[in-house]
Amino acid sequence: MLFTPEVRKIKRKKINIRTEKFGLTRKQKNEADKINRIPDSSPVLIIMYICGLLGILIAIGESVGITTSPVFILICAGIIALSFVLWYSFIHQNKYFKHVVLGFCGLIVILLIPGWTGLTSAISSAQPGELYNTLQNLLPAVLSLLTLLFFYLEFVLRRHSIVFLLCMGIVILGPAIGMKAGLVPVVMIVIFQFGFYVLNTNISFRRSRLNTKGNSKASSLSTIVTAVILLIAFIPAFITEHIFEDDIFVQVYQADGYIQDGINSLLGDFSTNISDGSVSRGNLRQSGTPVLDLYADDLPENRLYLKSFAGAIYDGRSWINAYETENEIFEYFSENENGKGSYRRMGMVFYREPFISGMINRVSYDYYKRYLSALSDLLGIELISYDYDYKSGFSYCLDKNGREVAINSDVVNDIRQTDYTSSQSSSLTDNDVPIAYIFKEDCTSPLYGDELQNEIITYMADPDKSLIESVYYIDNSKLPAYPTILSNTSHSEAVSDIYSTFGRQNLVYDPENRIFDVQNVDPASSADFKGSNHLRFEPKDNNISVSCYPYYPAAGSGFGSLTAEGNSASQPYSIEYYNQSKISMSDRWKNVPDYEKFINDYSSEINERYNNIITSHPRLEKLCSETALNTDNINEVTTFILYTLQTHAKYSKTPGSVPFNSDTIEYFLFDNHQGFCVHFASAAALMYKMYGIPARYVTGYSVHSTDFDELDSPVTSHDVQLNYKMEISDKYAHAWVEIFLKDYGWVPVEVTPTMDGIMNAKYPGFDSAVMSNIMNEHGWKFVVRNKDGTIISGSDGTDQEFDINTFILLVLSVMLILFALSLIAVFVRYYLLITHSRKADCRVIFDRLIRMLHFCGLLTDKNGSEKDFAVSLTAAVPEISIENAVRIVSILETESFSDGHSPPEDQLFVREQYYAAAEILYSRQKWFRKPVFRFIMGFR
Amino acid sequence: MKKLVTVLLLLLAWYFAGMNRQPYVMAAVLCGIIFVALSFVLTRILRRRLTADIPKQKNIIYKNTQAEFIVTATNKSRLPVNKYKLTLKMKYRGGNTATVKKLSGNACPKSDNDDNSAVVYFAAPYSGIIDAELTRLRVYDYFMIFSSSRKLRGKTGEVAVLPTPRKMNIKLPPFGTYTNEPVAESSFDKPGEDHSEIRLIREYREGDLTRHIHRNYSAKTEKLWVKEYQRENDFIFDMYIDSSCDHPLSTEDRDAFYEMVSAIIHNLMENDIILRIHYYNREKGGIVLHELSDPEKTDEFIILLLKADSFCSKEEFLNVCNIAAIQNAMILTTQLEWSFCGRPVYKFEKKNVCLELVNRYFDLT
Repeated sequence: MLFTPEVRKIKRKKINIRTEKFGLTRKQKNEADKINRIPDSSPVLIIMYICGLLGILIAIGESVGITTSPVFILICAGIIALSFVLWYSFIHQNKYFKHVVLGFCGLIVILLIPGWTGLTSAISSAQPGELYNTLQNLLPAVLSLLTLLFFYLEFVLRRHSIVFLLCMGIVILGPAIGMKAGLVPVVMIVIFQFGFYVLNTNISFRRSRLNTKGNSKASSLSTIVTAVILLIAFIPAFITEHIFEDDIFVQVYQADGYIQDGINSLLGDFSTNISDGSVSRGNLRQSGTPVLDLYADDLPENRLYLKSFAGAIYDGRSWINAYETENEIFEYFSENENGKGSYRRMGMVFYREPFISGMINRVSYDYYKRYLSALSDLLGIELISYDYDYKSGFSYCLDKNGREVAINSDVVNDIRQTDYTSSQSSSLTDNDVPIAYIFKEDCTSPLYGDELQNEIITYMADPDKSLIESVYYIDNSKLPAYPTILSNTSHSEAVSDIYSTFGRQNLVYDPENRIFDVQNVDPASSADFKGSNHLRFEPKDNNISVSCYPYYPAAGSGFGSLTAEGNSASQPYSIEYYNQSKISMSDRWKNVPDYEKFINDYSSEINERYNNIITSHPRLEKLCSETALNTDNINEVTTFILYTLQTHAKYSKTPGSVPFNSDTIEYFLFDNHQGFCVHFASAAALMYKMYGIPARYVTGYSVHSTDFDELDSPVTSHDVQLNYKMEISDKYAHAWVEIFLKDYGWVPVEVTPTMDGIMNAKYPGFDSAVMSNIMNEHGWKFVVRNKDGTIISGSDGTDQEFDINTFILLVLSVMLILFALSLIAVFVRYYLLITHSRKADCRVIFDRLIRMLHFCGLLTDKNGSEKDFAVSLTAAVPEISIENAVRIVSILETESFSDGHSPPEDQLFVREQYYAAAEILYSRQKWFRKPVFRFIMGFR
Repeated sequence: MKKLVTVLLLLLAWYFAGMNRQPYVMAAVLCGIIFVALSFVLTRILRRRLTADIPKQKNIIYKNTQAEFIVTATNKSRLPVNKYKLTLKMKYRGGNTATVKKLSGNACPKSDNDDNSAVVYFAAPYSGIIDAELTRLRVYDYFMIFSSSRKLRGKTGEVAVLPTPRKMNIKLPPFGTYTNEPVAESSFDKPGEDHSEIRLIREYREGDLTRHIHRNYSAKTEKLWVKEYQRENDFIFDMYIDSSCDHPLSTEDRDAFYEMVSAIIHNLMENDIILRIHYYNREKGGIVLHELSDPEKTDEFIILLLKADSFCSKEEFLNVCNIAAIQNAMILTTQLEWSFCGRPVYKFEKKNVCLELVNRYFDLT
């Protein structure tokens, strides 16, 4: 007992007082409440409810893809019928209501039991297909449950807010599980949401009223008006959305970007995702934040691809770095027993690899000292300085003959940059870092002293050394490899010689003299390496670590290296590169020993390692397997991939989020049909692999000559004058595909169409003409841009699917335009009629009077010439007196039998009588005939 | 708050529609924005077409019952009004505190008053006049996000709350003792018409004797008039209602005063007395005489008294009052004093006036 009887009495008294003060007695309040508890029997309620329910059912049906199935239609019909029964028994306070509800529950249980049994067995069998089928079998039970739940919330509890949020959740969050509502369900749900809200709020505030007379009718009418307004508002909304679709979605994503930027800046996260290989499951956000300043000595002729990341294997969410695959290949090559056994790798090259450099950093100074000492002994040079020239990046030594030689200072630099005085380095032992990482891959234990020296001698004596350089050159995924030693150069000449000679890779080792030498080739006369360009990258922000480089870099380029002016990627760096179109690739390898052998070995290895697909893409696999191609003809495969991409998807920066339960690439190609470069490149790389062609997914920046600005005052770097500059931001971030071509190595393939859907792919041996021929052979129709920019093949639309939404949009647009035109026409006609009637003579006005009477259903059997017309007119329109009617007829007769017009006063009289009659007849019309009377017929 | 929630929901839907690339949901969001904009305009349109009023009606109740005000709304628009809110201000005339009630309702298009009428109850614990006024009309859009209001002027109503009839014990003096003045002739009594025994001529009422019909006058005016003859043994009292006061009277003070006046007049009238009541009427600018001979018309006089702005200052009252005449009359004052022929009969206590009226014995002899 919370209160004693006395307290309760006082409280009751207070309540009474309050009630009295408010003006309502308790009894009256109870009566009002009783009235409010009576279920609203307005049919609008059940119509709205079924509208919303059907919307949700169709949305679910669409997501499962069974909307057109007869079973689904049957389920919908059954649910609607049951809803009617529930509603009918509920509003009539029928005693059978409980039985109906129980029957409904029983039905749900009956539907649920077999589905549930199947579900448990499907889960235990762990077969996705079976699970999916079982879930489909559960659909009727789920839908019935949903119906009952919604009915209970809407009608019994009158908690529309819960249903409102549920519906909103289904529509808004549905895409997360692959449920995207189409036009019809969205419209239905919106009308239900708003309509029911209007009804419900009306019911809820009835409690504050004392009478409910007319409330229900007004509520229903309000709901109907709301639904009509929404339907009308949906037409311009839908057309606006369709016209400015991309702009609208970009705005959303920009807004999201600002939020993300804000969060990132708060968390101090400045990382970019350009080099992590992840395949975006959302929209493309371009903040425009500058990342790099790029300087160039000359403008690139073609699109310049600046590569940052190469992915080899797709794991379902991201691409695994190709370095790992490449290292596996080279490790395999260097294995004597299982591998090729004839290849060696030079340790100093590897130290640039990200994961190797991590190991190198753990190398103690002693190791390097020992290594350099061994190297000095081997080559007979004396290390005279560890200070290196920042311009060239080399340290200088004397060989045993007293000649000055340059040593790649990167090694020295590494030693210098590492804090070997730290406790970490002092605690290192020889066993911590296998020397093999530094020097030789296939060495299983550290080498010391003579053993190490012998190893170096063995390595240096290997005639394949230049081939290794070539391999690195071919493998563009690796940064330019630098030869260790350059002889025959003087200190002062080093820089210029480096520029001119390092691209050739023709270092030879003289075993007798145990020295390296450069082949005596005149750089100026070498056709291979004409037309090199220079780029300088200056990172904008030390917090953002971005490194990228162009294709065909000058291996061993002395123009600069990634660490030429520092030891991290956030420092400026410069690279020399060659234009593919300007170098003769066939002649390039003629001096390289065993080039053919290496290429064959490498090709066979990448065929094996790159075509390994570890994820399941059933629909993509089916598509590829259904289209048999000559896989020896890489161009045919490329053409088919481009054709598939163009016909299945269009470019969009805002393709939306990928559902949690969907594969990004399959969703992009087969469900959403929209995506950006990341999706196009990923899909293309996978398709190449499915046809057995090694391919890589690459990300970086793509810039064009038009993106550069000419500098007023050129910048000089490493004695190269850089005349152009551009600011690289994430707007230039791009993804593309690399395929391996003999003589060319890994070459980029542009698989992303332009915004207008045109393909621009080309690589050595493949261009629009080749593509056009293949298209004609296979009968593939898609849009390709020619070399001169013209479009050489247009889509004939035969492959396009019939889009019901586009059709609806078209119909709506046409209807809207016709409606607008009709309105304009009606108003113009009305204006003309009114203007004309002001100047018209009596006969014209009388004619209009007759037509007006006929329109109103009066005197339809008379045309004004009858003798008793005046009497009839007065009878039809009593407001026109018999005298006036007679005068009208008289004036008309006079005018009809005379040559001229009636006097002005007579005209005025007839016109006034006409206006008076029009006013009277207009007031007699029903509301829906009034606009016709006034505007269409123009009587008033 | 509702506007904020609407904006937040639209933003949320816009964000998710954009992030998930749902063109139709985005279209729905745009549709919602258009709808909201239309709603804003709609409130302005509907507001102009909706009117509210308190129809004039005869509304008389007794104290401690409930006053009823019928409020009607007329929607001249072709669109229904989903919700409107009326502000109704009710107060006792002359009182300081007012009760404000908000009435909500909805209205069908082109609806008449009957469809949109509401009865408002107001507890009437005091006698007096309750004035009701519709001060503001607020119209909401269909989603009840926006509202638009306008002031209402001249939409008033009133209810007269009569004091509860009470039986008193009064001992009257013998008949004929206290007739001060001759009975005033009716304005219809023209000199020379030989109607010395006729007290007044009035309009015919059901139940009047046909022989009392004043035929000449009725023929002249085309209405039926009856002659009312003066009774020989009429006991005529002159009563002065001294409604002067030094300070403004509260509702409770007025109630006590009206209780006293009403009870005394009622009980005197039951003794077949003609009361010549003199009371101050500000509108008429002085003392007004009302002769009351029919007990059934007592309530009518009380209503007249309630409606008349009869309260004034002492000086004002003395200026317009015949002091000599007051001396021999019955006087009822706002201080709840009852005196007769210069002799105090009783002075009531404000709190116990009702009890004292019933329980005490008043001797006027």
